[in-house]
Amino acid sequence: MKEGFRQSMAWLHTWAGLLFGWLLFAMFTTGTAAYFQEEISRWMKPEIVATADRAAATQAAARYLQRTQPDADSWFISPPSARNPAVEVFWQPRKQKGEAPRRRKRGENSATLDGQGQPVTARETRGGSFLYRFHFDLHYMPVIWARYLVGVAAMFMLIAILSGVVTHKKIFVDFFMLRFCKGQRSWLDAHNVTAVFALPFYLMITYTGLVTLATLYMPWGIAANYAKPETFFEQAFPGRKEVERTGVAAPLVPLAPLMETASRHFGGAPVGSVRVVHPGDSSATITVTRASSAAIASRGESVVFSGTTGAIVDSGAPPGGAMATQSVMIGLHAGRYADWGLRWLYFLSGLGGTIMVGSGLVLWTVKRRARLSDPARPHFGFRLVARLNIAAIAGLPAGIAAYFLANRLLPPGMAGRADWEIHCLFIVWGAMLAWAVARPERRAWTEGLALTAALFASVPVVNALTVNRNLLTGLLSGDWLFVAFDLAMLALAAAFAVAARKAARGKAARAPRRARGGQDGLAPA
Amino acid sequence: MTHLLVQLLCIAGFACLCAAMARHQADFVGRKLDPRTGRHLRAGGLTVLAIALAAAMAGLGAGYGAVAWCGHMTVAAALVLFRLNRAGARNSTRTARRDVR
Repeated sequence: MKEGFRQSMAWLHTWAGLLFGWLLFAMFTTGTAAYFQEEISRWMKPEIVATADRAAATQAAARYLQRTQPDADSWFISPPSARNPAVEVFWQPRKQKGEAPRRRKRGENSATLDGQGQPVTARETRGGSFLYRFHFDLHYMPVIWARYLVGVAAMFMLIAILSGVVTHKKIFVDFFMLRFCKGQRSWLDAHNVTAVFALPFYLMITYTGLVTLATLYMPWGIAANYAKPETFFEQAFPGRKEVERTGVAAPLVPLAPLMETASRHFGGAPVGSVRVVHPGDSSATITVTRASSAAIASRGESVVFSGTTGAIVDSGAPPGGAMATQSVMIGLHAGRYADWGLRWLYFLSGLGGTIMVGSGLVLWTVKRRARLSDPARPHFGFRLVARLNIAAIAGLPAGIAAYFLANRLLPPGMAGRADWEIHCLFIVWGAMLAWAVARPERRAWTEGLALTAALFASVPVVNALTVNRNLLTGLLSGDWLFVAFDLAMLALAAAFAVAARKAARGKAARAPRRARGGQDGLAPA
Repeated sequence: MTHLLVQLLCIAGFACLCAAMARHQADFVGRKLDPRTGRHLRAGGLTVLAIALAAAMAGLGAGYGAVAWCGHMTVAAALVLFRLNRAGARNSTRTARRDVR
């Protein structure tokens, strides 16, 4: 080996980071937004304002399901919480003999209810949960492929983080060395500082991200011990076991007392979901699960009750060490337990990660631009990376802004409305890619970032024109969600506007630096 | 409330650590400190960060507090850095003006 360890790690860092950099940028962006997925969903369904008592609303939802879906195989009720005032219900229709499994249309087996069990008419949207799902399921492709792809990207991220720590040798000495507006040096500093400051977060989030899908990526442990993987899940999680219907009709016990019992069982923690299997049959069971906001561990404890007597059937054995560890790791990743303070810290750390990946991608081109044999006509690889950078860093945020705008502008009764909101995101993202390819690189940066800023700035305006909840009414009536959302949009718009201005100025400032020839302060690539 | 306290303690801790570094003293403190003061500042900064961890764990629960402490350290370090950057930029323009005169 001719090169030293640090050089080889620097090489690994450069290429491991670049290869999946764009996907990682998209994962960081949507994952960061997903820390506010409930709030985004509420903003995207401005019609829903109801708040209600948890137990009463759950009972009302059960009455609604009893009335509309008495024959369903199972019901799932998610009671109102501090972050979502509505009741969400899902049901699994009973399988007919010989019926082939098919994908159901959205809304066909789910409903949003108010506290009295009445369906709420809200615009059709996937809300913040789309950004959450995109984070690991992507879109327009089979979920299973997406999850493998995302897993490989996360492995590369882990490699890039560890090799990056080796490459960046002076973590503690250079801790406070970030300086702005110094060409290549400042890109490098921005990359280093965002990387170093939230390093514990990136290690945690990447590793625990892999752990969330560990049984998909490493199925052999289960395969070696169980003939069927389902057996493992049935044993690991209470309430999963398949029970045969008896065919004997029996009324369901009221849910509220069971929720109270379960809550006592969880040490006073609130109930997060109620699942009823075989409602109306004498084999009915009711599984009550702890709210994920009550503890870091995400695999909420569950209590299974008999649906006809209300007696506890299975209170769930305390999880083993491995299961408890996995549960805490997933909880740390998703951050559902976090209060407002910690949620914002998660968001800021995620934002840091997005900037780290983005600045790393830009750094790849910045470092190579000086060494190009003919800067006017760079080679194909350089052009490819440069254009993809613009498409990713300006394009995806522009797409997300378009997603929010589409939510306000598409007609409420439109067929496939929720899907078209998502198509709007990808149309704008794709258009940005085309723009990045068609325009000179520096112009494309300025125009792309400026367009993104304009799109984000227009969200509060369009919102104020189409919906009667906005920044002003929010301030007057204490509707803080709409105040915070508008302010966040304006802050993003301002950040992209500053970036666009810097990109425009960089054009003038770059000429003398190139004339000077060498670059100062070269760090390992 | 605990969040605010922990954030302030973390800012204080990182400010001490930054002031302890000889290369940043001119910008951050305004003058060079003698090495002994620097060492005291470093020890003090680390102690304050440890107190912040204790406060977070006492106020928010052990596991929750430890996670929140990591997040607060990230933000506090970033804030100290921005302060240092502005001080550095001011100082260098002042020096440049003096050079011109």
